[in-house]
Amino acid sequence: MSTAPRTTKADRREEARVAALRLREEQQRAARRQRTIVIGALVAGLAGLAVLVTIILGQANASPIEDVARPAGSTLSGAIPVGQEGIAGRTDGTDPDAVVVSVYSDFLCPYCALFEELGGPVLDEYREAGDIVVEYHPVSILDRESAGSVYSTRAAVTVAFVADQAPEAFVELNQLLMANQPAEGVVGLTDEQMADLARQAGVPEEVAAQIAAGEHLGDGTAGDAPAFTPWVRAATEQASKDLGRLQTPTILIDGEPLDESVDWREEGRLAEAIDAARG
Amino acid sequence: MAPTLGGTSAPHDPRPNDMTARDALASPDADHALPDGGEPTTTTPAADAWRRWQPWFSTVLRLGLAGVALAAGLLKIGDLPGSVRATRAYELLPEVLVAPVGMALPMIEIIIGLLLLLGLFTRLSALAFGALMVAFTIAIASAWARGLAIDCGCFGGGGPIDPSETVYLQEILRDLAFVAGAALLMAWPRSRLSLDRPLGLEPTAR
Repeated sequence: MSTAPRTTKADRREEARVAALRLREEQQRAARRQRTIVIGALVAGLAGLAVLVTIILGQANASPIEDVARPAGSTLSGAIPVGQEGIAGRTDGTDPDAVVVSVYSDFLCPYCALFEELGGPVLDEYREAGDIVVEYHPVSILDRESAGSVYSTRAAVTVAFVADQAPEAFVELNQLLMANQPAEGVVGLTDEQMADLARQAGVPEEVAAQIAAGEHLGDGTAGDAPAFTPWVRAATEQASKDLGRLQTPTILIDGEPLDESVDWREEGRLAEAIDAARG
Repeated sequence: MAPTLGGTSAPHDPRPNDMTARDALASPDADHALPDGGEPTTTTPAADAWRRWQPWFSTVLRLGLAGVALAAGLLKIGDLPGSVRATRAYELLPEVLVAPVGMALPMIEIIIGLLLLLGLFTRLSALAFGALMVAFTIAIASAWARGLAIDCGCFGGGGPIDPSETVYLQEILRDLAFVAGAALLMAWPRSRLSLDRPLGLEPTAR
Protein backbone atom coordinates (compact mmCIF):
# COMPACT_ATOMS: atom_id res chain seq x y z
CA MET A 1 0.00 0.00 0.00
CA SER A 2 1.11 3.45 -0.78
CA THR A 3 0.94 5.56 2.32
CA ALA A 4 4.06 7.52 1.67
CA PRO A 5 4.72 10.52 3.85
CA ARG A 6 3.94 12.88 1.00
CA THR A 7 0.88 11.97 -1.02
CA THR A 8 1.06 12.92 -4.62
CA LYS A 9 -1.96 13.36 -6.86
CA ALA A 10 -1.25 10.02 -8.45
CA ASP A 11 -1.18 8.38 -5.06
CA ARG A 12 -4.53 9.85 -4.11
CA ARG A 13 -6.06 8.72 -7.36
CA GLU A 14 -4.66 5.29 -6.76
CA GLU A 15 -6.20 5.17 -3.27
CA ALA A 16 -9.60 6.20 -4.58
CA ARG A 17 -9.36 3.53 -7.23
CA VAL A 18 -8.55 0.86 -4.67
CA ALA A 19 -11.39 2.02 -2.43
CA ALA A 20 -13.84 1.93 -5.32
CA LEU A 21 -12.73 -1.54 -6.29
CA ARG A 22 -13.06 -2.71 -2.75
CA LEU A 23 -16.56 -1.27 -2.41
CA ARG A 24 -17.59 -2.88 -5.65
CA GLU A 25 -16.21 -6.18 -4.53
CA GLU A 26 -18.06 -5.92 -1.22
CA GLN A 27 -21.34 -5.14 -2.97
CA GLN A 28 -20.88 -8.09 -5.23
CA ARG A 29 -20.15 -10.30 -2.28
CA ALA A 30 -23.29 -9.07 -0.49
CA ALA A 31 -25.40 -9.66 -3.58
CA ARG A 32 -23.96 -13.12 -3.94
CA ARG A 33 -24.65 -13.89 -0.30
CA GLN A 34 -28.22 -12.68 -0.71
CA ARG A 35 -28.72 -14.85 -3.78
CA THR A 36 -27.23 -17.89 -2.04
CA ILE A 37 -29.58 -17.40 0.90
CA VAL A 38 -32.66 -17.06 -1.33
CA ILE A 39 -31.84 -20.08 -3.49
CA GLY A 40 -30.78 -22.07 -0.43
CA ALA A 41 -34.01 -21.30 1.40
CA LEU A 42 -36.01 -22.24 -1.67
CA VAL A 43 -34.21 -25.57 -2.08
CA ALA A 44 -34.36 -26.36 1.63
CA GLY A 45 -38.07 -25.50 1.73
CA LEU A 46 -38.87 -27.70 -1.27
CA ALA A 47 -36.77 -30.55 0.12
CA GLY A 48 -38.43 -30.33 3.53
CA LEU A 49 -41.86 -30.30 1.90
CA ALA A 50 -41.05 -33.35 -0.24
CA VAL A 51 -39.85 -35.31 2.80
CA LEU A 52 -42.88 -34.25 4.83
CA VAL A 53 -45.33 -35.23 2.08
CA THR A 54 -43.61 -38.62 1.71
CA ILE A 55 -43.95 -39.31 5.43
CA ILE A 56 -47.58 -38.15 5.52
CA LEU A 57 -48.57 -40.24 2.50
CA GLY A 58 -46.63 -43.19 3.88
CA GLN A 59 -48.35 -42.93 7.25
CA ALA A 60 -51.76 -42.58 5.56
CA ASN A 61 -51.08 -45.87 3.80
CA ALA A 62 -50.03 -47.58 7.01
CA SER A 63 -53.16 -47.90 9.11
CA PRO A 64 -52.62 -49.98 12.23
CA ILE A 65 -54.27 -53.38 12.23
CA GLU A 66 -56.90 -52.21 14.74
CA ASP A 67 -58.23 -49.76 12.15
CA VAL A 68 -58.61 -51.97 9.10
CA ALA A 69 -61.25 -54.49 8.03
CA ARG A 70 -60.02 -57.88 9.22
CA PRO A 71 -60.91 -61.40 8.05
CA ALA A 72 -63.45 -62.98 10.40
CA GLY A 73 -61.76 -64.70 13.32
CA SER A 74 -58.31 -63.24 12.70
CA THR A 75 -56.27 -61.94 15.61
CA LEU A 76 -54.84 -58.48 16.20
CA SER A 77 -51.36 -59.88 15.63
CA GLY A 78 -52.43 -60.53 12.03
CA ALA A 79 -52.95 -64.28 12.42
CA ILE A 80 -55.66 -66.47 10.97
CA PRO A 81 -55.97 -69.23 13.58
CA VAL A 82 -57.12 -72.72 12.61
CA GLY A 83 -58.16 -75.37 15.11
CA GLN A 84 -59.25 -78.98 15.07
CA GLU A 85 -62.12 -78.51 12.61
CA GLY A 86 -59.79 -77.04 9.98
CA ILE A 87 -61.91 -73.90 9.62
CA ALA A 88 -60.19 -70.52 9.39
CA GLY A 89 -60.85 -68.29 12.39
CA ARG A 90 -62.30 -71.10 14.50
CA THR A 91 -60.49 -72.88 17.28
CA ASP A 92 -63.55 -74.55 18.87
CA GLY A 93 -62.95 -78.04 20.09
CA THR A 94 -59.26 -77.50 20.62
CA ASP A 95 -57.87 -77.80 24.11
CA PRO A 96 -57.60 -74.22 25.49
CA ASP A 97 -54.10 -75.08 26.66
CA ALA A 98 -53.11 -76.32 23.23
CA VAL A 99 -49.72 -75.25 21.92
CA VAL A 100 -49.93 -72.43 19.37
CA VAL A 101 -47.71 -72.79 16.33
CA SER A 102 -47.42 -69.56 14.34
CA VAL A 103 -46.19 -69.64 10.76
CA TYR A 104 -45.19 -66.40 9.02
CA SER A 105 -44.96 -66.88 5.30
CA ASP A 106 -44.92 -65.04 2.02
CA PHE A 107 -46.44 -66.88 -0.93
CA LEU A 108 -43.42 -65.99 -3.06
CA CYS A 109 -40.81 -67.26 -0.61
CA PRO A 110 -39.29 -70.58 -1.71
CA TYR A 111 -38.46 -71.73 1.81
CA CYS A 112 -42.06 -71.03 2.83
CA ALA A 113 -43.25 -73.42 0.13
CA LEU A 114 -40.71 -75.95 1.34
CA PHE A 115 -41.96 -75.56 4.90
CA GLU A 116 -45.55 -76.01 3.74
CA GLU A 117 -44.53 -79.17 1.88
CA LEU A 118 -42.50 -80.71 4.70
CA GLY A 119 -43.94 -79.15 7.85
CA GLY A 120 -47.54 -78.62 6.72
CA PRO A 121 -48.59 -82.27 7.05
CA VAL A 122 -46.97 -82.46 10.51
CA LEU A 123 -48.89 -79.41 11.68
CA ASP A 124 -52.15 -80.73 10.14
CA GLU A 125 -51.76 -83.99 12.03
CA TYR A 126 -51.23 -82.33 15.43
CA ARG A 127 -53.98 -79.82 14.73
CA GLU A 128 -56.53 -82.45 13.71
CA ALA A 129 -55.73 -84.35 16.88
CA GLY A 130 -56.63 -81.19 18.80
CA ASP A 131 -53.12 -80.81 20.18
CA ILE A 132 -52.16 -77.54 18.56
CA VAL A 133 -53.67 -74.41 17.03
CA VAL A 134 -51.97 -73.27 13.86
CA GLU A 135 -51.83 -69.51 13.37
CA TYR A 136 -51.28 -68.60 9.74
CA HIS A 137 -49.61 -65.24 9.23
CA PRO A 138 -49.78 -64.42 5.53
CA VAL A 139 -47.37 -61.51 5.03
CA SER A 140 -46.23 -59.64 1.95
CA ILE A 141 -42.55 -58.72 1.77
CA LEU A 142 -41.51 -59.95 -1.67
CA ASP A 143 -43.76 -57.94 -4.00
CA ARG A 144 -40.67 -56.55 -5.74
CA GLU A 145 -39.79 -60.09 -6.86
CA SER A 146 -42.91 -60.44 -9.01
CA ALA A 147 -42.14 -58.24 -12.01
CA GLY A 148 -44.56 -55.54 -10.93
CA SER A 149 -47.56 -57.81 -10.36
CA VAL A 150 -47.36 -57.51 -6.53
CA TYR A 151 -47.92 -61.25 -6.34
CA SER A 152 -47.11 -61.55 -2.63
CA THR A 153 -49.83 -59.08 -1.75
CA ARG A 154 -52.39 -60.51 -4.19
CA ALA A 155 -51.87 -64.05 -2.89
CA ALA A 156 -52.04 -62.97 0.76
CA VAL A 157 -55.19 -60.93 0.09
CA THR A 158 -56.73 -63.93 -1.65
CA VAL A 159 -56.22 -66.25 1.32
CA ALA A 160 -57.50 -63.54 3.67
CA PHE A 161 -60.60 -63.15 1.48
CA VAL A 162 -61.17 -66.92 1.49
CA ALA A 163 -60.61 -67.07 5.27
CA ASP A 164 -63.42 -64.55 5.57
CA GLN A 165 -65.79 -65.80 2.87
CA ALA A 166 -65.15 -69.54 2.67
CA PRO A 167 -63.22 -70.40 5.86
CA GLU A 168 -63.45 -74.17 5.42
CA ALA A 169 -61.40 -73.92 2.20
CA PHE A 170 -58.62 -71.78 3.72
CA VAL A 171 -56.15 -74.49 4.76
CA GLU A 172 -56.43 -76.25 1.43
CA LEU A 173 -56.01 -73.05 -0.59
CA ASN A 174 -52.97 -72.10 1.48
CA GLN A 175 -51.43 -75.46 0.65
CA LEU A 176 -52.35 -75.22 -3.06
CA LEU A 177 -50.89 -71.71 -3.43
CA MET A 178 -47.62 -72.88 -1.89
CA ALA A 179 -47.53 -76.00 -4.07
CA ASN A 180 -48.08 -73.86 -7.17
CA GLN A 181 -45.66 -71.14 -6.17
CA PRO A 182 -44.33 -69.14 -9.10
CA ALA A 183 -40.63 -68.51 -9.48
CA GLU A 184 -39.23 -65.27 -8.11
CA GLY A 185 -38.91 -62.48 -10.63
CA VAL A 186 -41.87 -63.41 -12.84
CA VAL A 187 -45.44 -62.13 -12.88
CA GLY A 188 -46.75 -65.21 -11.07
CA LEU A 189 -50.27 -66.55 -10.99
CA THR A 190 -53.02 -64.38 -12.43
CA ASP A 191 -56.19 -63.69 -10.46
CA GLU A 192 -57.97 -66.25 -12.67
CA GLN A 193 -55.37 -68.90 -11.87
CA MET A 194 -55.72 -68.18 -8.15
CA ALA A 195 -59.51 -68.45 -8.55
CA ASP A 196 -59.05 -71.87 -10.14
CA LEU A 197 -56.97 -73.00 -7.18
CA ALA A 198 -59.67 -71.61 -4.89
CA ARG A 199 -62.33 -73.66 -6.70
CA GLN A 200 -60.09 -76.69 -6.36
CA ALA A 201 -59.92 -76.00 -2.61
CA GLY A 202 -63.71 -75.98 -2.46
CA VAL A 203 -64.45 -72.27 -2.51
CA PRO A 204 -68.06 -71.57 -3.66
CA GLU A 205 -68.39 -70.31 -7.22
CA GLU A 206 -69.54 -66.77 -6.40
CA VAL A 207 -66.50 -66.24 -4.15
CA ALA A 208 -64.17 -67.73 -6.77
CA ALA A 209 -65.71 -65.44 -9.40
CA GLN A 210 -64.92 -62.42 -7.25
CA ILE A 211 -61.32 -63.60 -6.97
CA ALA A 212 -61.10 -64.15 -10.73
CA ALA A 213 -62.37 -60.61 -11.30
CA GLY A 214 -59.92 -59.18 -8.79
CA GLU A 215 -62.81 -57.65 -6.82
CA HIS A 216 -61.22 -58.70 -3.53
CA LEU A 217 -58.15 -56.59 -4.23
CA GLY A 218 -58.18 -52.82 -3.90
CA ASP A 219 -58.87 -50.88 -0.76
CA GLY A 220 -62.52 -51.83 -0.20
CA THR A 221 -63.94 -48.59 -1.57
CA ALA A 222 -65.05 -50.12 -4.87
CA GLY A 223 -67.20 -53.19 -5.43
CA ASP A 224 -69.10 -55.27 -2.93
CA ALA A 225 -66.37 -57.69 -2.01
CA PRO A 226 -64.59 -56.96 1.26
CA ALA A 227 -61.02 -56.03 0.37
CA PHE A 228 -58.20 -57.06 2.62
CA THR A 229 -55.27 -55.29 0.98
CA PRO A 230 -55.03 -52.80 3.88
CA TRP A 231 -55.19 -55.76 6.25
CA VAL A 232 -52.28 -57.53 4.56
CA ARG A 233 -50.26 -54.32 4.73
CA ALA A 234 -51.15 -53.81 8.40
CA ALA A 235 -50.59 -57.47 9.29
CA THR A 236 -47.15 -57.38 7.64
CA GLU A 237 -46.20 -54.25 9.58
CA GLN A 238 -47.53 -55.80 12.79
CA ALA A 239 -45.47 -58.93 12.13
CA SER A 240 -42.39 -56.77 11.58
CA LYS A 241 -43.01 -55.00 14.89
CA ASP A 242 -43.69 -58.22 16.79
CA LEU A 243 -40.68 -60.09 15.41
CA GLY A 244 -38.29 -57.12 15.15
CA ARG A 245 -36.73 -58.68 12.11
CA LEU A 246 -39.43 -60.15 9.91
CA GLN A 247 -38.20 -62.96 7.72
CA THR A 248 -40.07 -65.79 6.13
CA PRO A 249 -40.70 -68.46 7.04
CA THR A 250 -40.66 -67.74 10.76
CA ILE A 251 -42.08 -70.42 13.00
CA LEU A 252 -43.03 -69.65 16.58
CA ILE A 253 -44.05 -72.27 19.09
CA ASP A 254 -46.11 -70.66 21.86
CA GLY A 255 -44.60 -67.34 20.81
CA GLU A 256 -40.99 -68.54 20.95
CA PRO A 257 -39.02 -68.66 17.71
CA LEU A 258 -38.07 -72.17 16.72
CA ASP A 259 -34.51 -72.63 17.92
CA GLU A 260 -31.92 -72.08 15.20
CA SER A 261 -30.51 -75.52 15.84
CA VAL A 262 -33.85 -77.09 14.85
CA ASP A 263 -33.71 -77.86 11.14
CA TRP A 264 -37.34 -78.45 10.20
CA ARG A 265 -36.21 -79.91 6.89
CA GLU A 266 -35.10 -83.01 8.75
CA GLU A 267 -37.90 -85.44 9.34
CA GLY A 268 -39.18 -85.50 12.89
CA ARG A 269 -37.46 -82.27 14.04
CA LEU A 270 -40.57 -80.12 13.95
CA ALA A 271 -42.59 -82.81 15.75
CA GLU A 272 -39.90 -83.04 18.44
CA ALA A 273 -40.00 -79.29 18.98
CA ILE A 274 -43.80 -79.34 19.29
CA ASP A 275 -43.68 -82.32 21.66
CA ALA A 276 -41.12 -80.48 23.78
CA ALA A 277 -43.43 -77.47 24.02
CA ARG A 278 -46.42 -79.66 24.96
CA GLY A 279 -44.40 -80.96 27.88
CA MET B 1 -12.58 -0.40 -16.11
CA ALA B 2 -11.40 -2.97 -13.63
CA PRO B 3 -12.26 -6.59 -14.27
CA THR B 4 -14.58 -8.51 -12.06
CA LEU B 5 -12.49 -10.20 -9.47
CA GLY B 6 -13.61 -13.58 -8.25
CA GLY B 7 -13.89 -14.61 -11.85
CA THR B 8 -17.54 -15.63 -11.97
CA SER B 9 -18.65 -13.46 -14.82
CA ALA B 10 -15.87 -12.55 -17.16
CA PRO B 11 -12.89 -14.82 -16.97
CA HIS B 12 -11.46 -13.52 -20.23
CA ASP B 13 -11.35 -9.87 -19.31
CA PRO B 14 -7.93 -8.37 -19.83
CA ARG B 15 -6.18 -8.36 -16.53
CA PRO B 16 -5.00 -5.07 -15.16
CA ASN B 17 -1.30 -4.44 -15.32
CA ASP B 18 -1.50 -2.42 -12.19
CA MET B 19 0.09 -4.70 -9.63
CA THR B 20 -0.53 -2.25 -6.82
CA ALA B 21 -4.29 -2.57 -7.16
CA ARG B 22 -4.15 -6.30 -7.39
CA ASP B 23 -1.89 -6.65 -4.41
CA ALA B 24 -4.06 -4.30 -2.40
CA LEU B 25 -7.12 -6.37 -3.12
CA ALA B 26 -5.27 -9.57 -2.48
CA SER B 27 -7.68 -11.40 -4.69
CA PRO B 28 -8.26 -14.59 -2.72
CA ASP B 29 -7.66 -16.99 -5.53
CA ALA B 30 -6.68 -15.13 -8.61
CA ASP B 31 -5.31 -18.24 -10.26
CA HIS B 32 -8.00 -20.67 -9.11
CA ALA B 33 -10.70 -18.33 -10.27
CA LEU B 34 -9.59 -18.55 -13.86
CA PRO B 35 -9.61 -22.20 -14.71
CA ASP B 36 -9.46 -21.73 -18.43
CA GLY B 37 -7.57 -18.64 -19.28
CA GLY B 38 -6.10 -15.69 -17.54
CA GLU B 39 -2.46 -15.64 -16.74
CA PRO B 40 -0.62 -18.90 -16.66
CA THR B 41 0.76 -18.65 -13.14
CA THR B 42 1.89 -22.21 -13.62
CA THR B 43 4.47 -23.86 -11.50
CA THR B 44 4.66 -27.33 -13.04
CA PRO B 45 3.01 -28.99 -16.04
CA ALA B 46 1.26 -31.41 -13.67
CA ALA B 47 -0.34 -28.59 -11.71
CA ASP B 48 -1.36 -27.02 -14.97
CA ALA B 49 -2.99 -30.20 -16.19
CA TRP B 50 -4.78 -30.64 -12.88
CA ARG B 51 -6.12 -27.08 -13.04
CA ARG B 52 -7.36 -27.81 -16.51
CA TRP B 53 -8.96 -31.20 -15.85
CA GLN B 54 -10.16 -30.80 -12.25
CA PRO B 55 -13.60 -29.41 -13.27
CA TRP B 56 -14.16 -32.44 -15.50
CA PHE B 57 -12.91 -34.82 -12.85
CA SER B 58 -15.35 -33.23 -10.39
CA THR B 59 -18.14 -33.43 -12.96
CA VAL B 60 -17.68 -37.18 -13.42
CA LEU B 61 -17.49 -37.66 -9.66
CA ARG B 62 -20.58 -35.54 -9.08
CA LEU B 63 -22.68 -37.37 -11.67
CA GLY B 64 -21.48 -40.73 -10.38
CA LEU B 65 -22.51 -39.94 -6.81
CA ALA B 66 -25.80 -38.52 -8.12
CA GLY B 67 -26.47 -41.85 -9.83
CA VAL B 68 -25.74 -43.75 -6.62
CA ALA B 69 -28.03 -41.56 -4.51
CA LEU B 70 -30.84 -41.55 -7.07
CA ALA B 71 -30.68 -45.32 -7.55
CA ALA B 72 -30.73 -45.90 -3.80
CA GLY B 73 -33.70 -43.58 -3.33
CA LEU B 74 -35.76 -44.58 -6.36
CA LEU B 75 -35.41 -48.30 -5.69
CA LYS B 76 -36.79 -47.79 -2.19
CA ILE B 77 -39.44 -45.11 -2.57
CA GLY B 78 -41.90 -47.48 -4.25
CA ASP B 79 -41.88 -49.72 -1.19
CA LEU B 80 -41.98 -47.48 1.86
CA PRO B 81 -43.24 -50.25 4.18
CA GLY B 82 -40.23 -52.28 3.06
CA SER B 83 -37.92 -49.37 3.83
CA VAL B 84 -39.49 -49.13 7.30
CA ARG B 85 -38.96 -52.87 7.86
CA ALA B 86 -35.34 -52.62 6.68
CA THR B 87 -34.78 -49.71 9.08
CA ARG B 88 -36.37 -51.65 11.92
CA ALA B 89 -34.21 -54.69 11.21
CA TYR B 90 -31.09 -52.72 12.28
CA GLU B 91 -32.59 -52.52 15.79
CA LEU B 92 -30.92 -49.15 16.33
CA LEU B 93 -33.80 -46.67 16.48
CA PRO B 94 -36.63 -46.47 18.99
CA GLU B 95 -39.90 -47.72 17.49
CA VAL B 96 -41.46 -44.22 17.29
CA LEU B 97 -38.65 -43.11 14.97
CA VAL B 98 -38.49 -46.24 12.82
CA ALA B 99 -41.44 -45.39 10.57
CA PRO B 100 -40.67 -41.68 9.96
CA VAL B 101 -36.96 -42.37 9.34
CA GLY B 102 -37.67 -45.38 7.12
CA MET B 103 -40.11 -43.35 5.05
CA ALA B 104 -37.97 -40.20 4.88
CA LEU B 105 -34.67 -41.82 3.87
CA PRO B 106 -35.58 -42.72 0.26
CA MET B 107 -36.83 -39.17 -0.40
CA ILE B 108 -33.74 -37.65 1.24
CA GLU B 109 -31.55 -39.79 -1.03
CA ILE B 110 -33.53 -38.69 -4.08
CA ILE B 111 -33.18 -35.01 -3.11
CA ILE B 112 -29.42 -35.33 -2.57
CA GLY B 113 -29.21 -37.19 -5.88
CA LEU B 114 -31.09 -34.44 -7.70
CA LEU B 115 -28.93 -31.70 -6.16
CA LEU B 116 -25.78 -33.55 -7.22
CA LEU B 117 -27.20 -34.18 -10.69
CA LEU B 118 -27.99 -30.49 -11.13
CA GLY B 119 -24.77 -29.39 -9.46
CA LEU B 120 -26.68 -27.18 -7.06
CA PHE B 121 -24.88 -26.45 -3.78
CA THR B 122 -22.38 -29.11 -4.79
CA ARG B 123 -20.16 -28.90 -1.72
CA LEU B 124 -23.07 -29.00 0.71
CA SER B 125 -24.76 -31.82 -1.22
CA ALA B 126 -21.53 -33.81 -1.20
CA LEU B 127 -21.32 -33.21 2.55
CA ALA B 128 -24.90 -34.46 3.03
CA PHE B 129 -24.21 -37.49 0.85
CA GLY B 130 -21.02 -38.28 2.74
CA ALA B 131 -22.69 -37.84 6.11
CA LEU B 132 -25.49 -40.22 5.10
CA MET B 133 -22.94 -42.79 3.93
CA VAL B 134 -20.98 -42.48 7.19
CA ALA B 135 -24.22 -43.05 9.13
CA PHE B 136 -25.03 -46.10 6.98
CA THR B 137 -21.53 -47.47 7.41
CA ILE B 138 -21.81 -47.17 11.18
CA ALA B 139 -25.23 -48.84 11.11
CA ILE B 140 -23.95 -51.74 9.00
CA ALA B 141 -20.84 -52.15 11.14
CA SER B 142 -22.96 -52.18 14.26
CA ALA B 143 -25.31 -54.80 12.78
CA TRP B 144 -22.24 -56.87 11.94
CA ALA B 145 -20.76 -56.43 15.41
CA ARG B 146 -24.02 -57.46 17.03
CA GLY B 147 -24.19 -60.55 14.85
CA LEU B 148 -27.47 -59.60 13.17
CA ALA B 149 -28.05 -61.40 9.90
CA ILE B 150 -29.50 -58.69 7.71
CA ASP B 151 -29.19 -57.33 4.21
CA CYS B 152 -28.27 -53.64 4.41
CA GLY B 153 -31.26 -52.66 2.28
CA CYS B 154 -29.09 -49.99 0.73
CA PHE B 155 -30.65 -50.33 -2.70
CA GLY B 156 -34.05 -51.67 -1.75
CA GLY B 157 -34.86 -54.97 -0.14
CA GLY B 158 -33.21 -55.30 3.22
CA GLY B 159 -34.19 -57.11 6.34
CA PRO B 160 -33.12 -60.45 7.71
CA ILE B 161 -31.33 -62.97 5.54
CA ASP B 162 -29.55 -66.22 6.05
CA PRO B 163 -26.37 -65.64 8.11
CA SER B 164 -24.31 -67.23 5.33
CA GLU B 165 -25.55 -64.60 2.88
CA THR B 166 -24.39 -61.52 4.78
CA VAL B 167 -21.91 -59.39 2.86
CA TYR B 168 -21.09 -56.81 5.51
CA LEU B 169 -17.49 -56.28 4.46
CA GLN B 170 -18.44 -55.57 0.83
CA GLU B 171 -21.26 -53.26 1.96
CA ILE B 172 -18.92 -51.34 4.26
CA LEU B 173 -16.11 -51.08 1.69
CA ARG B 174 -18.59 -49.87 -0.91
CA ASP B 175 -19.98 -47.23 1.43
CA LEU B 176 -16.46 -46.11 2.36
CA ALA B 177 -15.67 -45.69 -1.33
CA PHE B 178 -18.73 -43.45 -1.60
CA VAL B 179 -17.54 -41.47 1.45
CA ALA B 180 -14.16 -40.98 -0.22
CA GLY B 181 -15.89 -39.81 -3.41
CA ALA B 182 -17.94 -37.33 -1.41
CA ALA B 183 -14.80 -36.02 0.32
CA LEU B 184 -13.05 -35.46 -3.01
CA LEU B 185 -16.06 -33.62 -4.36
CA MET B 186 -16.17 -31.46 -1.23
CA ALA B 187 -12.51 -30.59 -1.76
CA TRP B 188 -13.02 -29.70 -5.44
CA PRO B 189 -16.69 -28.80 -5.86
CA ARG B 190 -16.21 -26.78 -9.06
CA SER B 191 -17.49 -28.74 -12.00
CA ARG B 192 -18.88 -28.38 -15.49
CA LEU B 193 -22.55 -28.76 -16.41
CA SER B 194 -23.43 -27.46 -12.98
CA LEU B 195 -26.00 -24.93 -11.81
CA ASP B 196 -23.62 -23.55 -9.21
CA ARG B 197 -21.66 -21.77 -11.92
CA PRO B 198 -24.46 -19.87 -13.72
CA LEU B 199 -26.15 -19.09 -10.40
CA GLY B 200 -22.90 -17.77 -8.96
CA LEU B 201 -22.97 -20.23 -6.06
CA GLU B 202 -19.44 -21.52 -6.50
CA PRO B 203 -17.26 -20.91 -3.51
CA THR B 204 -14.85 -18.07 -4.23
CA ALA B 205 -12.00 -19.45 -2.22
CA ARG B 206 -10.76 -22.63 -0.82
